Amino acid sequence: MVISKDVHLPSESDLTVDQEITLSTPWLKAVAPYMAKHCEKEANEFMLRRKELEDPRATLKEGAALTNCGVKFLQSLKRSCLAETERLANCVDQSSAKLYLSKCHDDQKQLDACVETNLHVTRPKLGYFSLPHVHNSAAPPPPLPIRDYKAEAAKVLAELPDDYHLRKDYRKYNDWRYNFAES
Amino acid sequence: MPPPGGYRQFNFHRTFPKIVWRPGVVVATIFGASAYGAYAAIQEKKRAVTEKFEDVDINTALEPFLKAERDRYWLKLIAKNRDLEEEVMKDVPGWKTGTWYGEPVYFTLGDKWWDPATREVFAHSYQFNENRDLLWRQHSEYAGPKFYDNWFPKSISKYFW
Repeated sequence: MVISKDVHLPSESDLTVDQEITLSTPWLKAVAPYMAKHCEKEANEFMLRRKELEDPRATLKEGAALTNCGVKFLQSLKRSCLAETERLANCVDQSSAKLYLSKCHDDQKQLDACVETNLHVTRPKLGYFSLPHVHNSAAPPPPLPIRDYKAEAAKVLAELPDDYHLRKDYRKYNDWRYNFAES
Repeated sequence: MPPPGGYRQFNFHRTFPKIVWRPGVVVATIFGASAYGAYAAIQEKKRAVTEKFEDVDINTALEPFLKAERDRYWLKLIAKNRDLEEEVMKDVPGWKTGTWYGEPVYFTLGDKWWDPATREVFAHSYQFNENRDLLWRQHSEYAGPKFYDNWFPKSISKYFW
């Protein structure tokens, strides 16, 4: 593998959270909008930082906070609306092969009402999560890496010995073809 | 003798039957059916798109949670792979983990993170594990025990999906 010993990988404890979300797909599809709405701040923060830094190692803390938020929400949901959630999850599981929610809107409305009264989370309208959202993060964005190629080249050239065999031929790219058909 | 007032007049012209499918009715029916078909097709398309979009929206809502979990799992897997390589190659003189005898495989500037390629991640695994990972989207909907499980030896049946 290309990950050498110089590459810093986080320790096992950094990569472990107290509780992962271990729901199956029908249950996840049943509870996802409420969970995402409840943890919207954490989710936006995580996704923004993840996109900015392009590094899974740098956003472990945000990811753990997001998972903890989701787990807490699911625990409170289990305490208040377990029966409705189970009905909706079973409906999602059994009503279509692709686990669509379209046949389960009756059960979904009951769960909507239960979650709204008990947990004060309103289910967002269809398409809410597909819209772009503005999120102001406390962490500043990473600086844009801009390299000064001319300065780097000048530095390399300055380090070369005086009798270095610099190439004198300045031929065009196409002149390096071996035959006519190539490139 | 003819009846009083004479015989009734005889129709000696060519007669045509009264048909239902007059040209106007045919044209109207074709246009009507086409219009209704187009309307129904558009409505069905809208319904199907909405049904799919509802699912897409839920998946989008789920993505941050799955991504967070995936990152942790992925980094654990890579650390495990690196330790395995260390263990496997410890007797090879001059071998440095993550390089080709000390020469880096890729030229990376700075501390930029690159995900290793699939082949490298699955280097210490069986080929069918990699295939299963690559072909995950084509896996069968039902992953539980099958009725034909006992018909084949385990060495063959693990390749059936």
